[in-house]
Amino acid sequence: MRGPQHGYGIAVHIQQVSNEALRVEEGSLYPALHRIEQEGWIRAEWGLSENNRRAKFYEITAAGKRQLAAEEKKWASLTAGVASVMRYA
Amino acid sequence: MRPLGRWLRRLFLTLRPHRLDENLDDELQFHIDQRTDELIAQGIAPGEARRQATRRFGNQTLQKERARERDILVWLESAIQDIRYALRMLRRNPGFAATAILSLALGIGANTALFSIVDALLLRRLPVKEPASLVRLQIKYPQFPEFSTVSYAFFDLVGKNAHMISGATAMSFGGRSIEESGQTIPTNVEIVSGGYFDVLGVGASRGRVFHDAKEPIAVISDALWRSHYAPGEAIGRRIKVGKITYTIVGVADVRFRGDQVDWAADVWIPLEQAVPAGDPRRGQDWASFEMIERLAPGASIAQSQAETQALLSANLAGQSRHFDHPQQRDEFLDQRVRLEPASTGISNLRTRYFRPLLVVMCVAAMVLLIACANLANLMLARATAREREIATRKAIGAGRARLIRQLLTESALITLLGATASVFLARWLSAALLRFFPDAVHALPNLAFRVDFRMLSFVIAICVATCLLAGLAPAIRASGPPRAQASTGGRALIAIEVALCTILLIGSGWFVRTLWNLRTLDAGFARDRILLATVGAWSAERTEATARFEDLRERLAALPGVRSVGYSNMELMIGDEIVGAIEAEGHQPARTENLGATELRISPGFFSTFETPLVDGRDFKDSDEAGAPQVAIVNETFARHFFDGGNAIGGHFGQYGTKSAHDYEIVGVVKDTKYASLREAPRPIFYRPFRQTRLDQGMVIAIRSSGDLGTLAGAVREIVHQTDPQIKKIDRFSTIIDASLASERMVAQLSAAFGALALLVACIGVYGILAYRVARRTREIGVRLALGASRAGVQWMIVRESLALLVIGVAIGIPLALGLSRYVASLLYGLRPTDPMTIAAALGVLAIVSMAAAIIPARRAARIDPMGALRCE
Repeated sequence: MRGPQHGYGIAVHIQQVSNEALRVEEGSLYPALHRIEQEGWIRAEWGLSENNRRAKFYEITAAGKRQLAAEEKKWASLTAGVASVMRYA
Repeated sequence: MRPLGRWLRRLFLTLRPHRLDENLDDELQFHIDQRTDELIAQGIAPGEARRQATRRFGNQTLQKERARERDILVWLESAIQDIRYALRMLRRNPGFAATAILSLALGIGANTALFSIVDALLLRRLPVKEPASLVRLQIKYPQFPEFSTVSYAFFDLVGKNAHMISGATAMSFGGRSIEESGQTIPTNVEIVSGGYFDVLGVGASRGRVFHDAKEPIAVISDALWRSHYAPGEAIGRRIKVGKITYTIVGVADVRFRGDQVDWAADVWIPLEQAVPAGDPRRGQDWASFEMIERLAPGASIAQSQAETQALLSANLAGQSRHFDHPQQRDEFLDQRVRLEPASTGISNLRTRYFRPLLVVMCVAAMVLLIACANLANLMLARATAREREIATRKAIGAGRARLIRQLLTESALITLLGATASVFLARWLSAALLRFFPDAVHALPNLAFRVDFRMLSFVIAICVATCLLAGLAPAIRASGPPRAQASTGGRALIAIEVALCTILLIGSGWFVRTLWNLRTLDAGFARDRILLATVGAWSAERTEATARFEDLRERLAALPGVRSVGYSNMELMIGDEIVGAIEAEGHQPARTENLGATELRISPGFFSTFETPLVDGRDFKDSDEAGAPQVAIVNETFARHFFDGGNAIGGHFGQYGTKSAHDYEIVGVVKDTKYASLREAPRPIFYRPFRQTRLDQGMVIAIRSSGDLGTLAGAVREIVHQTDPQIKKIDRFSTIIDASLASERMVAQLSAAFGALALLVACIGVYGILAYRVARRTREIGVRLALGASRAGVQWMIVRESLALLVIGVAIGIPLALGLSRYVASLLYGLRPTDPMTIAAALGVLAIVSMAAAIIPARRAARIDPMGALRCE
């Protein structure tokens, strides 16, 4: 996924790439988006959607990319740790 | 986005909630609409598609709230809500709001005004470099009870030889006016030694300061420069102080007004010029210089004091061989040096007003406390009335902290409004307070109300305290579980108010009685109908001057209405005095006996002018002249002390140890009089006829008249003006006595005024709680009346409640007042703190006021219609 996306687009994207594994209330995406926007990891802008409706678009920032990389690394070491423990189970 | 930027964005969104709400709604709705469209595209019917989309989205309101909380400053939003709510409550109860705000404004304003004076007089540091290392140096001479100023010789000795200091400077008062191109400008002149500006570390904002001035130059203050000179004009101008003309070389730093708190200096002239070498004022006996030193880095006050004392003692020992009498020699050697911190400057007013100001400050604090208790009480009553509303709020999920915050917001708002009003009030109150300092007129530039960092910190501190005191108890109480008996807390607060009022009333009783006692005591002299004119010395030689004084006395005595005229060399009730040790015929002094007696040189007519009765012997006569036998009149204490209570008439005495013990023969004994202050114990005084003494210092003419003293003053000015000496000042004797009672008057009047204010506030408090309780008990009272209680009985029931509060309050207040009394004992005169009259008067006032506060609620209770009361609710 590249470029700015509105909330609905993000929700659809998550559902698709996760093969509908992550099925939560779609609305709970928004408090999360607003939180990471306040953190400065994404920025938001109002624009027009494909069908010419007013929509809020989110785009990842440089700080967000750094944060993402850091989180990915943390996640990788966590899963690696869990996997190595699981091997002896 | 930077953290600050994000914060600002949230602040912005908090302040514009409508815009934010719309955007959130739009964003979420867009999601649902998109989903719906997609579902329709998949072939689902529109109605069903919308239902599914909504279901998949979940709780829309909840998610919106959650997203919203991320975008705004939640605390700020709730604070805004609280303030809106509090404002609405205040608007709905204007009487409550006005009372609360006004009483807090008075309380905070009075405290702020007092703080500004206390700060200026006691706490504020001199605007100089490192004020903490400055010390003031004084000496205690054996013949005087207090530490006093030093001689130039001593300053010179210390300045040249002390190692514990990095510099020393001597200062002296230089006059109350300057002459500038023929015009007299009233201002304060200070004579300062060359090192003054260097020791203090004060520079010039324009031109330069002086160091060791070789020619007559002067530095002026920024204030004088601004009020008398055009910009850039002052430097190079010439001013005349006394007989010497000085050239202005600089303007001192803006904030610097000299080292004296009591008089703000405007002109500084060099000691080297004003008091040149060889001047008698540089002599050993002329101890009229204040001295300030800067301690050397690392030196302590104690070290420097020890060093200076050693210098002084060694120096004195070198001179002591001139004395042949051992006691006199011991006395001469017994001079003690004292160093004290001078970071706040030099002030005698400070010593005089320290305790009185502290007392008044405590009184003002108590008034504020009463105002707080009252406010807390009113809020408590209202919170109880809002029990249902608060219960509802709790039921729909308001947290306790949130409720406490909301109730505190209300008290904070009231405090804030009160504080705003108090700032205006404080400025005015401070000016009013300064009128209680008649002797501080030259200190006014230093004492005037000034808004600065310390002042604001003080105001903020008392506002926070007020807000918490007034709001916290009701808030915690109201947000807790409801109670059956709701007004116990309220009554406790009222009892505290009454207790504080008791203390204030008893205290003001003490101070008012003290003032009254001092005003009415028999001072040994009359206070009214006497005019005092201080005149300068005659330049003529002695016999000539004496003749002129005689002539002047006769002309003044001939004025219409004048009953009697007398002179003295010193003014009574001012504090100027000549005290010397006495040796009397037939009196064997004990080793530690105080032989000091006060000398006053007077003319015939002095005693009749002041109406001081002659107890024995005769008054001075015109024949007591220079060539005649040396005579003296003594007062009763003198006669008792030096002549063992026996007949002093015909006895002889003289100055101690000068082989002149038989110089003066006593021809009369007069009644004891006060001399320097109305509070003092009787002191031995002897009077000498002015014709047999030197008169080189000028005279104080006392004139007793049956006519108008204002008119007389004009006539006296005119007559004296025709002769040689200058009139320095002319005052009613009663005005001078009043000025000597300034601090007593301040404490008495302020404590009485604050007492009355406290009483009013407490009265409103008692009224409020009774009225509230009557309203709450309407039903119960209705039942009592229906069952046959008499209306008088119901009235008494309410009044009794008020009296119960009074009894509890007084029972706490009286012991507290008596316990506090030892801190003010030194301020009282002619009564003991346990004085039953004062306590009874305070109780009487309290009883009357608490009855008055109960009348309206009691009547309202008695007028309750039983049927109406039972039907209501």
